[in-house]
Amino acid sequence: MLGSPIWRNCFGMWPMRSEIPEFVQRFNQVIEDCEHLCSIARDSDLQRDASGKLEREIAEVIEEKNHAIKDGNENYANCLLGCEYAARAILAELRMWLLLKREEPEAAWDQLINAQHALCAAMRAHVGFSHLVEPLKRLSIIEDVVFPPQIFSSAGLIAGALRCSVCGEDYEECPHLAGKPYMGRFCAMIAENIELDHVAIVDRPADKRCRTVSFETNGGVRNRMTWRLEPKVLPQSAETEAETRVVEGGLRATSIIMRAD
Amino acid sequence: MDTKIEDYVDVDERLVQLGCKEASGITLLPTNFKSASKIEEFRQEAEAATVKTLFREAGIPLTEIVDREQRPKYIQNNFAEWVGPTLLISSALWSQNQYAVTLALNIISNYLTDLFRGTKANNVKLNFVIRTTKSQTYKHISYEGNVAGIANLEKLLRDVANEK
Repeated sequence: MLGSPIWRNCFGMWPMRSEIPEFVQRFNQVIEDCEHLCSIARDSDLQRDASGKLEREIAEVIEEKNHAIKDGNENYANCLLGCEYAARAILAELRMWLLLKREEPEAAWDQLINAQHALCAAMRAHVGFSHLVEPLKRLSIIEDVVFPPQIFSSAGLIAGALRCSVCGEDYEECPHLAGKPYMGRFCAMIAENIELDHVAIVDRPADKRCRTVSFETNGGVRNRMTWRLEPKVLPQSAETEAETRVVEGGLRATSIIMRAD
Repeated sequence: MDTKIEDYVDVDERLVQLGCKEASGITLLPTNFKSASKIEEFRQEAEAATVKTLFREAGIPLTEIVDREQRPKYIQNNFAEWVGPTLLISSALWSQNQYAVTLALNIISNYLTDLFRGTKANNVKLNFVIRTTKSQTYKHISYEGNVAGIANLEKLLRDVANEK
Protein backbone atom coordinates (compact mmCIF):
# COMPACT_ATOMS: atom_id res chain seq x y z
CA MET A 1 0.00 0.00 0.00
CA LEU A 2 1.19 3.49 -0.69
CA GLY A 3 0.71 4.46 2.95
CA SER A 4 -0.54 8.00 2.58
CA PRO A 5 -2.79 9.74 0.09
CA ILE A 6 -0.69 10.48 -2.97
CA TRP A 7 -1.88 14.09 -3.28
CA ARG A 8 -0.55 14.99 0.18
CA ASN A 9 3.05 14.72 -0.87
CA CYS A 10 3.43 14.46 -4.59
CA PHE A 11 1.67 17.57 -5.73
CA GLY A 12 3.70 20.07 -3.77
CA MET A 13 3.04 22.76 -6.32
CA TRP A 14 -0.58 22.86 -5.10
CA PRO A 15 -0.28 23.60 -1.38
CA MET A 16 -4.04 23.70 -0.82
CA ARG A 17 -6.13 20.64 -1.52
CA SER A 18 -8.66 22.83 -3.30
CA GLU A 19 -5.93 23.78 -5.81
CA ILE A 20 -5.28 20.16 -6.85
CA PRO A 21 -6.66 19.56 -10.34
CA GLU A 22 -9.92 17.65 -10.37
CA PHE A 23 -8.27 14.90 -12.39
CA VAL A 24 -5.65 14.33 -9.72
CA GLN A 25 -8.21 14.38 -6.86
CA ARG A 26 -10.20 11.67 -8.61
CA PHE A 27 -7.02 9.67 -9.32
CA ASN A 28 -6.06 9.79 -5.65
CA GLN A 29 -9.48 8.48 -4.65
CA VAL A 30 -9.15 5.51 -7.03
CA ILE A 31 -5.67 4.75 -5.67
CA GLU A 32 -6.89 4.95 -2.07
CA ASP A 33 -9.78 2.57 -2.82
CA CYS A 34 -7.55 0.05 -4.60
CA GLU A 35 -4.60 0.00 -2.20
CA HIS A 36 -6.89 -1.20 0.60
CA LEU A 37 -7.17 -4.45 -1.34
CA CYS A 38 -3.42 -5.13 -1.39
CA SER A 39 -3.43 -8.16 0.90
CA ILE A 40 -3.68 -11.92 0.41
CA ALA A 41 -6.71 -11.97 2.76
CA ARG A 42 -8.84 -9.69 0.55
CA ASP A 43 -11.58 -11.10 -1.65
CA SER A 44 -10.36 -12.12 -5.13
CA ASP A 45 -13.42 -10.73 -6.93
CA LEU A 46 -12.85 -7.33 -5.33
CA GLN A 47 -9.17 -7.50 -6.28
CA ARG A 48 -10.07 -8.36 -9.90
CA ASP A 49 -12.51 -5.42 -10.03
CA ALA A 50 -9.84 -3.12 -8.62
CA SER A 51 -7.34 -4.37 -11.22
CA GLY A 52 -9.78 -3.47 -14.00
CA LYS A 53 -10.37 -0.07 -12.43
CA LEU A 54 -6.60 0.56 -12.27
CA GLU A 55 -6.09 -0.48 -15.89
CA ARG A 56 -8.70 2.09 -16.93
CA GLU A 57 -7.15 4.67 -14.61
CA ILE A 58 -3.70 4.16 -16.14
CA ALA A 59 -5.18 4.72 -19.61
CA GLU A 60 -6.75 7.97 -18.38
CA VAL A 61 -3.52 9.14 -16.74
CA ILE A 62 -1.68 8.54 -20.02
CA GLU A 63 -4.32 10.59 -21.87
CA GLU A 64 -4.03 13.43 -19.33
CA LYS A 65 -0.26 13.21 -19.60
CA ASN A 66 -0.46 13.56 -23.37
CA HIS A 67 -2.45 16.79 -22.88
CA ALA A 68 0.24 18.05 -20.48
CA ILE A 69 2.93 17.18 -23.04
CA LYS A 70 0.96 19.02 -25.74
CA ASP A 71 0.75 22.06 -23.44
CA GLY A 72 4.50 21.86 -22.75
CA ASN A 73 3.86 21.50 -19.00
CA GLU A 74 6.84 19.31 -18.05
CA ASN A 75 6.29 19.41 -14.28
CA TYR A 76 2.71 18.19 -14.60
CA ALA A 77 3.69 15.64 -17.27
CA ASN A 78 6.35 14.20 -14.95
CA CYS A 79 3.90 14.18 -12.02
CA LEU A 80 1.48 12.21 -14.18
CA LEU A 81 4.32 9.87 -15.14
CA GLY A 82 4.72 9.27 -11.40
CA CYS A 83 0.96 8.71 -11.04
CA GLU A 84 1.06 6.20 -13.90
CA TYR A 85 3.83 4.20 -12.22
CA ALA A 86 2.25 4.45 -8.75
CA ALA A 87 -0.94 2.96 -10.24
CA ARG A 88 1.09 0.29 -12.06
CA ALA A 89 2.72 -0.63 -8.73
CA ILE A 90 -0.65 -1.24 -7.04
CA LEU A 91 -1.94 -3.11 -10.08
CA ALA A 92 1.13 -5.38 -10.07
CA GLU A 93 0.77 -6.04 -6.34
CA LEU A 94 -2.92 -6.94 -6.71
CA ARG A 95 -2.00 -9.31 -9.55
CA MET A 96 0.72 -10.83 -7.36
CA TRP A 97 -1.78 -11.69 -4.59
CA LEU A 98 -4.30 -13.07 -7.12
CA LEU A 99 -1.63 -15.24 -8.75
CA LEU A 100 -0.44 -16.56 -5.39
CA LYS A 101 -3.99 -17.56 -4.52
CA ARG A 102 -4.13 -19.41 -7.86
CA GLU A 103 -0.87 -21.23 -6.98
CA GLU A 104 1.12 -19.49 -9.71
CA PRO A 105 4.10 -18.28 -7.67
CA GLU A 106 6.44 -17.78 -10.63
CA ALA A 107 4.09 -15.34 -12.34
CA ALA A 108 3.42 -13.77 -8.91
CA TRP A 109 7.17 -13.23 -8.44
CA ASP A 110 7.34 -11.35 -11.75
CA GLN A 111 4.49 -9.11 -10.60
CA LEU A 112 6.26 -8.42 -7.30
CA ILE A 113 9.36 -7.29 -9.20
CA ASN A 114 7.17 -5.23 -11.56
CA ALA A 115 5.63 -3.53 -8.52
CA GLN A 116 9.09 -2.74 -7.07
CA HIS A 117 10.31 -1.36 -10.40
CA ALA A 118 7.15 0.73 -10.77
CA LEU A 119 7.59 2.31 -7.31
CA CYS A 120 11.23 3.16 -8.07
CA ALA A 121 10.13 4.66 -11.39
CA ALA A 122 7.45 6.77 -9.68
CA MET A 123 10.08 8.11 -7.28
CA ARG A 124 12.39 9.01 -10.17
CA ALA A 125 9.56 10.59 -12.13
CA HIS A 126 8.85 13.41 -9.69
CA VAL A 127 10.28 14.50 -6.37
CA GLY A 128 6.81 14.44 -4.83
CA PHE A 129 6.75 10.65 -4.86
CA SER A 130 9.75 10.26 -2.53
CA HIS A 131 7.43 9.02 0.25
CA LEU A 132 7.02 5.79 -1.74
CA VAL A 133 10.21 4.56 -0.11
CA GLU A 134 7.97 3.13 2.65
CA PRO A 135 5.76 0.95 0.40
CA LEU A 136 8.96 -0.13 -1.35
CA LYS A 137 10.32 -1.40 1.98
CA ARG A 138 7.06 -3.29 2.45
CA LEU A 139 7.49 -5.01 -0.94
CA SER A 140 11.04 -5.88 0.03
CA ILE A 141 9.71 -7.59 3.16
CA ILE A 142 7.15 -9.49 1.05
CA GLU A 143 10.01 -10.61 -1.21
CA ASP A 144 11.92 -12.01 1.76
CA VAL A 145 9.02 -13.52 3.68
CA VAL A 146 6.59 -14.79 1.05
CA PHE A 147 9.01 -16.09 -1.58
CA PRO A 148 11.95 -18.50 -1.25
CA PRO A 149 15.51 -17.25 -1.94
CA GLN A 150 16.34 -17.03 -5.64
CA ILE A 151 19.48 -17.36 -7.76
CA PHE A 152 19.79 -14.42 -10.13
CA SER A 153 21.47 -14.16 -13.50
CA SER A 154 22.72 -11.26 -15.53
CA ALA A 155 23.68 -11.02 -19.19
CA GLY A 156 26.72 -8.95 -20.15
CA LEU A 157 26.38 -7.37 -23.58
CA ILE A 158 28.65 -5.54 -25.96
CA ALA A 159 26.84 -2.78 -27.83
CA GLY A 160 28.17 -1.16 -30.97
CA ALA A 161 26.16 2.01 -30.34
CA LEU A 162 23.77 3.55 -27.82
CA ARG A 163 20.72 5.51 -28.88
CA CYS A 164 18.65 7.84 -26.70
CA SER A 165 15.03 6.77 -26.19
CA VAL A 166 13.89 10.40 -25.84
CA CYS A 167 15.35 12.08 -28.93
CA GLY A 168 16.51 9.08 -30.95
CA GLU A 169 19.99 10.58 -31.33
CA ASP A 170 23.39 9.15 -30.36
CA TYR A 171 23.12 8.80 -26.56
CA GLU A 172 26.70 9.97 -26.06
CA GLU A 173 26.04 13.23 -27.86
CA CYS A 174 22.50 14.19 -26.81
CA PRO A 175 21.72 16.09 -23.58
CA HIS A 176 19.46 13.44 -22.03
CA LEU A 177 20.49 11.20 -19.13
CA ALA A 178 19.40 7.60 -18.64
CA GLY A 179 16.87 7.17 -15.84
CA LYS A 180 15.75 10.82 -15.77
CA PRO A 181 12.23 11.94 -16.71
CA TYR A 182 11.77 14.29 -19.66
CA MET A 183 8.32 15.65 -20.45
CA GLY A 184 6.45 12.64 -19.10
CA ARG A 185 8.79 9.84 -20.18
CA PHE A 186 12.03 8.31 -18.99
CA CYS A 187 15.27 8.42 -20.89
CA ALA A 188 16.84 5.02 -21.52
CA MET A 189 19.86 3.86 -23.48
CA ILE A 190 18.85 1.69 -26.42
CA ALA A 191 21.71 -0.66 -27.18
CA GLU A 192 22.31 -1.34 -30.87
CA ASN A 193 24.41 -3.96 -32.69
CA ILE A 194 24.42 -6.15 -29.61
CA GLU A 195 26.63 -9.18 -29.00
CA LEU A 196 26.23 -11.42 -25.97
CA ASP A 197 29.48 -11.31 -24.02
CA HIS A 198 28.76 -13.48 -20.98
CA VAL A 199 26.14 -14.69 -18.56
CA ALA A 200 26.83 -14.48 -14.84
CA ILE A 201 25.21 -15.56 -11.60
CA VAL A 202 24.97 -12.42 -9.48
CA ASP A 203 23.65 -11.40 -6.07
CA ARG A 204 22.26 -8.07 -7.23
CA PRO A 205 20.87 -8.14 -10.75
CA ALA A 206 19.26 -5.16 -12.45
CA ASP A 207 16.17 -7.31 -13.04
CA LYS A 208 15.24 -9.93 -10.44
CA ARG A 209 12.94 -11.60 -12.95
CA CYS A 210 16.17 -12.97 -14.48
CA ARG A 211 16.70 -16.02 -12.31
CA THR A 212 17.30 -19.75 -12.31
CA VAL A 213 13.88 -21.33 -12.78
CA SER A 214 14.80 -25.01 -12.50
CA PHE A 215 17.69 -27.45 -12.21
CA GLU A 216 18.13 -31.12 -13.00
CA THR A 217 18.34 -33.53 -10.13
CA ASN A 218 17.94 -37.26 -9.59
CA GLY A 219 14.59 -38.23 -10.96
CA GLY A 220 13.67 -35.07 -12.78
CA VAL A 221 13.75 -31.31 -12.92
CA ARG A 222 13.31 -29.37 -9.68
CA ASN A 223 11.37 -26.10 -9.97
CA ARG A 224 13.35 -23.60 -7.93
CA MET A 225 10.24 -21.62 -6.92
CA THR A 226 7.69 -24.34 -6.12
CA TRP A 227 10.27 -27.08 -5.33
CA ARG A 228 8.02 -29.41 -7.31
CA LEU A 229 9.83 -32.25 -9.10
CA GLU A 230 8.80 -32.40 -12.74
CA PRO A 231 9.69 -35.09 -15.27
CA LYS A 232 12.74 -34.46 -17.41
CA VAL A 233 11.79 -33.54 -20.99
CA LEU A 234 13.91 -35.53 -23.41
CA PRO A 235 15.55 -33.73 -26.35
CA GLN A 236 13.36 -33.77 -29.46
CA SER A 237 16.12 -34.34 -31.99
CA ALA A 238 19.83 -35.00 -32.36
CA GLU A 239 20.30 -31.32 -33.12
CA THR A 240 18.61 -30.25 -29.88
CA GLU A 241 20.60 -32.85 -27.98
CA ALA A 242 23.85 -31.38 -29.29
CA GLU A 243 22.72 -27.92 -28.21
CA THR A 244 21.88 -29.03 -24.69
CA ARG A 245 24.82 -31.37 -24.05
CA VAL A 246 26.59 -30.67 -20.77
CA VAL A 247 29.88 -31.69 -19.24
CA GLU A 248 29.68 -35.01 -17.35
CA GLY A 249 28.86 -34.33 -13.71
CA GLY A 250 27.85 -30.74 -14.40
CA LEU A 251 24.64 -29.25 -13.07
CA ARG A 252 22.15 -28.41 -15.81
CA ALA A 253 19.88 -25.53 -14.93
CA THR A 254 17.41 -23.38 -16.82
CA SER A 255 17.66 -19.64 -16.29
CA ILE A 256 16.03 -16.52 -17.63
CA ILE A 257 18.95 -14.26 -18.59
CA MET A 258 17.16 -11.33 -20.18
CA ARG A 259 13.64 -9.93 -20.50
CA ALA A 260 12.39 -8.24 -23.64
CA ASP A 261 10.76 -5.38 -21.68
CA MET B 1 33.20 1.44 1.14
CA ASP B 2 36.20 -0.20 -0.45
CA THR B 3 39.09 1.56 -2.19
CA LYS B 4 42.17 -0.07 -3.66
CA ILE B 5 45.30 1.72 -4.84
CA GLU B 6 47.64 -0.03 -7.28
CA ASP B 7 50.46 0.88 -9.64
CA TYR B 8 49.35 1.44 -13.23
CA VAL B 9 51.05 1.33 -16.62
CA ASP B 10 52.73 4.42 -18.06
CA VAL B 11 49.70 5.97 -19.75
CA ASP B 12 51.73 8.30 -22.02
CA GLU B 13 53.74 5.35 -23.30
CA ARG B 14 50.58 3.28 -23.94
CA LEU B 15 48.90 6.16 -25.76
CA VAL B 16 51.84 6.43 -28.13
CA GLN B 17 52.07 2.62 -28.58
CA LEU B 18 48.39 2.38 -29.48
CA GLY B 19 48.35 5.48 -31.68
CA CYS B 20 45.96 7.44 -29.44
CA LYS B 21 45.72 11.18 -28.97
CA GLU B 22 47.36 12.97 -26.05
CA ALA B 23 45.43 13.10 -22.77
CA SER B 24 45.11 16.20 -20.60
CA GLY B 25 42.82 17.43 -17.82
CA ILE B 26 40.19 14.71 -17.35
CA THR B 27 40.00 11.85 -19.85
CA LEU B 28 37.87 8.70 -19.87
CA LEU B 29 40.06 5.67 -20.42
CA PRO B 30 38.71 2.49 -22.01
CA THR B 31 38.13 -0.29 -19.48
CA ASN B 32 40.77 -2.50 -21.14
CA PHE B 33 43.30 0.27 -21.78
CA LYS B 34 46.06 -1.78 -20.12
CA SER B 35 45.48 -4.96 -22.08
CA ALA B 36 44.15 -3.92 -25.52
CA SER B 37 46.60 -4.46 -28.34
CA LYS B 38 44.96 -1.97 -30.70
CA ILE B 39 42.34 0.80 -30.61
CA GLU B 40 39.69 -1.44 -32.22
CA GLU B 41 39.81 -3.69 -29.16
CA PHE B 42 38.94 -0.87 -26.76
CA ARG B 43 35.79 -1.30 -24.67
CA GLN B 44 34.10 1.25 -22.43
CA GLU B 45 31.38 0.99 -19.81
CA ALA B 46 27.99 2.12 -21.17
CA GLU B 47 27.86 4.64 -18.31
CA ALA B 48 30.90 6.38 -19.78
CA ALA B 49 28.43 7.92 -22.24
CA THR B 50 26.34 9.23 -19.32
CA VAL B 51 29.42 10.70 -17.63
CA LYS B 52 30.41 12.45 -20.87
CA THR B 53 26.97 14.09 -21.03
CA LEU B 54 27.09 15.06 -17.34
CA PHE B 55 30.50 16.72 -17.80
CA ARG B 56 29.57 18.39 -21.08
CA GLU B 57 26.38 19.87 -19.60
CA ALA B 58 28.35 21.11 -16.54
CA GLY B 59 31.09 22.63 -18.69
CA ILE B 60 33.83 20.28 -17.45
CA PRO B 61 36.33 19.85 -20.30
CA LEU B 62 36.99 16.25 -21.25
CA THR B 63 39.67 15.13 -23.67
CA GLU B 64 39.17 12.16 -26.00
CA ILE B 65 42.05 9.82 -26.82
CA VAL B 66 40.42 8.50 -30.02
CA ASP B 67 38.43 10.07 -32.85
CA ARG B 68 34.64 9.76 -33.00
CA GLU B 69 34.79 7.03 -35.64
CA GLN B 70 37.11 4.97 -33.40
CA ARG B 71 34.80 5.24 -30.40
CA PRO B 72 35.00 2.03 -28.32
CA LYS B 73 32.08 -0.39 -28.11
CA TYR B 74 30.08 -0.32 -24.90
CA ILE B 75 29.97 -2.94 -22.15
CA GLN B 76 26.47 -3.27 -20.75
CA ASN B 77 26.22 -5.38 -17.61
CA ASN B 78 22.78 -5.83 -16.16
CA PHE B 79 23.79 -5.44 -12.53
CA ALA B 80 21.83 -3.48 -9.96
CA GLU B 81 24.97 -1.49 -9.26
CA TRP B 82 26.17 1.43 -11.37
CA VAL B 83 29.51 0.73 -13.02
CA GLY B 84 31.17 3.95 -14.04
CA PRO B 85 34.11 4.59 -16.35
CA THR B 86 37.82 5.01 -15.60
CA LEU B 87 38.69 8.68 -15.16
CA LEU B 88 42.27 9.67 -15.95
CA ILE B 89 43.25 12.83 -14.08
CA SER B 90 46.39 14.65 -15.19
CA SER B 91 48.87 15.94 -12.61
CA ALA B 92 48.59 19.47 -13.99
CA LEU B 93 44.85 19.63 -13.34
CA TRP B 94 45.32 19.91 -9.57
CA SER B 95 47.14 23.23 -9.98
CA GLN B 96 45.38 24.53 -13.11
CA ASN B 97 41.82 23.99 -11.91
CA GLN B 98 41.73 22.88 -8.29
CA TYR B 99 37.92 22.58 -8.25
CA ALA B 100 37.54 20.47 -11.41
CA VAL B 101 37.84 17.10 -9.62
CA THR B 102 35.47 18.16 -6.82
CA LEU B 103 32.94 19.39 -9.37
CA ALA B 104 33.25 16.20 -11.45
CA LEU B 105 32.66 14.00 -8.39
CA ASN B 106 29.72 16.12 -7.20
CA ILE B 107 28.04 15.93 -10.58
CA ILE B 108 28.33 12.14 -10.73
CA SER B 109 27.16 11.86 -7.11
CA ASN B 110 24.09 14.09 -7.67
CA TYR B 111 23.06 12.15 -10.77
CA LEU B 112 23.35 8.84 -8.90
CA THR B 113 21.40 10.13 -5.89
CA ASP B 114 18.45 10.81 -8.21
CA LEU B 115 18.90 7.54 -10.08
CA PHE B 116 18.90 5.40 -6.94
CA ARG B 117 16.14 7.29 -5.14
CA GLY B 118 14.35 4.87 -2.84
CA THR B 119 16.27 1.77 -3.86
CA LYS B 120 18.33 -0.41 -1.58
CA ALA B 121 20.79 -1.12 -4.37
CA ASN B 122 22.91 2.02 -4.53
CA ASN B 123 26.26 0.41 -5.02
CA VAL B 124 28.68 2.20 -7.31
CA LYS B 125 31.96 1.21 -8.96
CA LEU B 126 34.28 3.95 -10.18
CA ASN B 127 37.90 3.83 -11.29
CA PHE B 128 40.52 6.54 -11.44
CA VAL B 129 44.00 6.75 -12.88
CA ILE B 130 46.10 9.52 -11.35
CA ARG B 131 49.46 10.86 -12.41
CA THR B 132 51.48 11.72 -9.35
CA THR B 133 52.87 15.25 -9.23
CA LYS B 134 56.41 14.47 -8.04
CA SER B 135 57.48 11.07 -9.36
CA GLN B 136 55.20 11.31 -12.45
CA THR B 137 54.08 7.69 -12.10
CA TYR B 138 50.54 6.41 -12.59
CA LYS B 139 48.31 4.95 -9.86
CA HIS B 140 45.01 3.16 -10.28
CA ILE B 141 42.34 3.76 -7.63
CA SER B 142 39.20 1.65 -7.63
CA TYR B 143 36.17 2.60 -5.56
CA GLU B 144 33.28 0.34 -4.67
CA GLY B 145 30.67 1.60 -2.26
CA ASN B 146 27.57 3.71 -1.89
CA VAL B 147 26.84 7.03 -3.55
CA ALA B 148 27.53 9.02 -0.36
CA GLY B 149 31.12 7.73 -0.34
CA ILE B 150 31.94 9.48 -3.64
CA ALA B 151 32.20 12.80 -1.78
CA ASN B 152 35.16 11.46 0.24
CA LEU B 153 37.14 10.48 -2.84
CA GLU B 154 38.47 13.96 -3.66
CA LYS B 155 40.85 13.96 -0.67
CA LEU B 156 42.03 10.44 -1.40
CA LEU B 157 42.71 11.26 -5.06
CA ARG B 158 44.54 14.45 -4.11
CA ASP B 159 46.65 12.59 -1.53
CA VAL B 160 47.59 9.93 -4.08
CA ALA B 161 48.50 12.65 -6.60
CA ASN B 162 50.65 14.38 -4.00
CA GLU B 163 52.13 11.03 -2.87
CA LYS B 164 51.07 11.59 0.76
